Amino acid sequence: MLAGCATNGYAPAGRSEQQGFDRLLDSVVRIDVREMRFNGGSARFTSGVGSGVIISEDGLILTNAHVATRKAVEISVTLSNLERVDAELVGWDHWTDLALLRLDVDEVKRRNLTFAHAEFGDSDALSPGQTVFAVGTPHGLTRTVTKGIISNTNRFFEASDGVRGYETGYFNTWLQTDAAINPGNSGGPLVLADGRVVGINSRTYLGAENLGFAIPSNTARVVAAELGANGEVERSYVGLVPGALLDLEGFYELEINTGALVNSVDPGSPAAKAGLRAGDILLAINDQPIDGRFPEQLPPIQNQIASAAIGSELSMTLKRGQERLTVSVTTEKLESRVGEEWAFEKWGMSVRKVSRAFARENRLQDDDGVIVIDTQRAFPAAKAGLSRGDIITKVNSETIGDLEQLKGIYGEFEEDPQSLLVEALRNRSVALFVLKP
Amino acid sequence: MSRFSPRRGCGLLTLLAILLPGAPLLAPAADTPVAELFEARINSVLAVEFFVETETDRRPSVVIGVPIDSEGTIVLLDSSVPGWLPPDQLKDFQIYLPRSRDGIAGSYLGQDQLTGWHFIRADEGLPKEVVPVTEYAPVDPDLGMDAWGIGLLGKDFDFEPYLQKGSVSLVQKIPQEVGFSVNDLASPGAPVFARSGDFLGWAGNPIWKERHMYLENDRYNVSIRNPNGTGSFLLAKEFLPYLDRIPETATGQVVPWLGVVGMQPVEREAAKFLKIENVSAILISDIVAEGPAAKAGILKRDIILTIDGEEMPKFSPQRAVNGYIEREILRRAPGDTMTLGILRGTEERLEFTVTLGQQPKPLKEAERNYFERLGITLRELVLFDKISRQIVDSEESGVIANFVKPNTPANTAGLLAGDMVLEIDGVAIDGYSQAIEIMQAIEDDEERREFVLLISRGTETSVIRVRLK
Repeated sequence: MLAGCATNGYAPAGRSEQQGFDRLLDSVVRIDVREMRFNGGSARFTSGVGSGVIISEDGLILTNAHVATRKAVEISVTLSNLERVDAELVGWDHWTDLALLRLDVDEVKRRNLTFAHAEFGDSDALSPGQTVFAVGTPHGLTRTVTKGIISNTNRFFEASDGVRGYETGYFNTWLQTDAAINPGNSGGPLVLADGRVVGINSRTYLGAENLGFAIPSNTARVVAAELGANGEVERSYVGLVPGALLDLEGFYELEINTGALVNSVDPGSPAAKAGLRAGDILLAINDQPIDGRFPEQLPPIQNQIASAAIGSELSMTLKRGQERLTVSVTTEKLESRVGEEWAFEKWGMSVRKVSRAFARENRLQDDDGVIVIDTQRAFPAAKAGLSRGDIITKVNSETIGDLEQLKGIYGEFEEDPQSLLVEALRNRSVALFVLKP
Repeated sequence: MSRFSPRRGCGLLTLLAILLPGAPLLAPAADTPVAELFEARINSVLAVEFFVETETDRRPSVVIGVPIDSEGTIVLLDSSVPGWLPPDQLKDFQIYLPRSRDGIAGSYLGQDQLTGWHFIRADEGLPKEVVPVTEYAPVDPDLGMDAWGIGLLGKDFDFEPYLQKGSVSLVQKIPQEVGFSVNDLASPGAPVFARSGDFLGWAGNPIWKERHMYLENDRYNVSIRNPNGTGSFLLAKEFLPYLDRIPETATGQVVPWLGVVGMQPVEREAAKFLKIENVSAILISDIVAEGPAAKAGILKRDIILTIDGEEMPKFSPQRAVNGYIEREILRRAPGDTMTLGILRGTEERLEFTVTLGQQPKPLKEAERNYFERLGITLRELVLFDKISRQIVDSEESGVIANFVKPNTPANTAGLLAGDMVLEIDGVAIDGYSQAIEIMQAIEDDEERREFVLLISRGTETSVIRVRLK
């Protein structure tokens, strides 16, 4: 599929490099997002600016997950001809920092607006030193083009809270470029001289200069297709954190370029249940040999696991000391560590559901409960003594299993305000609070 | 609580002194000038210098204490010596009288669990001009009463004593009775006296004071405290009765234990909701499996209402009840029973009789060994570690890397102090002595090129490869 893309080429005969680049410029948009945030104990609107690139005739726009989130309530797109059109979020994937938007097609028709769409290049065919351009809206400066080179084609750069507190970079490597990328460039394309999109600009190192990172187009295309079809990318989870072997082959008596280290196994995860242990060497998954010698080889391994059907069995061949063993691991659906958020306005409290990942990270006994994000001064939650970070586990001796349940209790409170006894975990100690009308 | 005026108290105690030979109490005339009282009482305060010796350095510490008997015993505040330090890392105790340059050698006797106080003793006794504070008549404070105490300057000033004065502004049970003055009365750990010269109490830790600070036009809320002075003092009657609690050994003390984790006072509103607002109540966050409370049938989330049928007193702030119940446990001995009245859920009232166990080994008594060439100290895993790492009920075993010398191969490879070592060279660690044996072999083998550790930090594990050559 990808090779096909490279050989087909983008610019048909007769179309010059300049024409291709001009067309690209016409497909880059500025994105203004108003979104709901649950800080300060209530729902509040905030706004931000980013970039995006139109990738289809019917107005699909690729941008970053951190530009347009699921909390967006209003997305406004400025086309290159300076017309503004509303757009909606079609799909969101924080793991690759990608989001897919769609222009309001009816409005486009009604107003007779035109736009171009960009085409993808083959990010696997890039080589360091190749000239690239970043196009976007840095600091609100619409349609800014900056120039640089590909500094590295295969950068390992994961972060457990990279996209607004969500994990990112576990399943893909990044293109690194020295083309100037500033806040607002996010979501804009990284392109070749002929305008083909080889990456979606996403991140920089804070405090560094000329260290920009983009999601490779070959990852973006696959993710965009999934987001278009399903709104999300479903992935499998086993709870295994691989580590690079580097020069540990000698210690583990392995041939070079074989196996990946099992650096960590999430407590209670499918991998833990199957008996995997940190320090094991993962030799093969479903008889396919694994090579995790260097960090940049880890995302493909993670992606291989993630790509398995949810609930399927993976056969993992391991080396443990002198022993070789094969275990069967049943995958679960991958979940974010950031649970759903909500604000209970009359209580003056915003909360986030405890996710399975959060529970495991914090060694909670189960994923019951909601975490207090914030409270509003002088409202019932704050007056009761609840504060940020508390984990509400029970209300009136009813265990809070999910957010809907608390919404139900809140609904009853709105209709008929009665004092509620709230049990919460704070610094691992249990404390009782009373929410009074 | 019996309150008596200083004069009456003085008189009563003078009378006792006459009746009880062998307990001479020094009682001055009521109108003795403060300067005169001060000159006499500076003999009841001492500076104590010692060194905390770690793997790679020695840090000096100077604290203030009071002599309490004729054998040269001195009592120091809880905070004077870090409680988690193994006593053998406390070195070279030197005792200085005010206005003196030469130290007197002393030894660390240990920390009393109930009070938290540390005791030291002069090896050859103290000079005879030193007067134990027990020689002065104790007196209860009255509100507004003049009070004064002694401060000591630093070593470079030869511990020159100075006078501090104030008056009693508040007496509060938290849960022990503590007196407060708005002004500083003494150096922390020094004695506090009434105007009459009678013994009012023992100066505690410095008090935090809230202040507003303005920089340009911005206001900041700051908390400040004076490390060399305090306006709080433990009343004499809360101090004197506990001076016989001198530990027999610095380590290996037998300490009673209930086996619960995270006791939280039930705040007023919650108590009202549960209809227990008339008593002091404490919620048990968690129970140590197989511990004394668990064996008696107490569950996590149970609320303690009574001890041996008695309601717990109410305190302001409420959290003082934590200190109260802690003392109730510590004043008993392992094997003693404690009957706890419990509220379970919102209705159920129960009673459990717990046979107190013995506290598992504290952090400071955990075995440890420093491997000098590798720059690593390994320490035995104790219950405290398991509680703080949330692995009380898990089978995880290992040892703690208690110290990692900076820039050594292990440190460069990523090992940090506090990491739990689960495996060394692929061998699972199931006990301290096994870990030490394996590590010693690595330490002794100068030809060794590398070793590999499996460590856990937070909830993550990772493999660390240490290159020695």
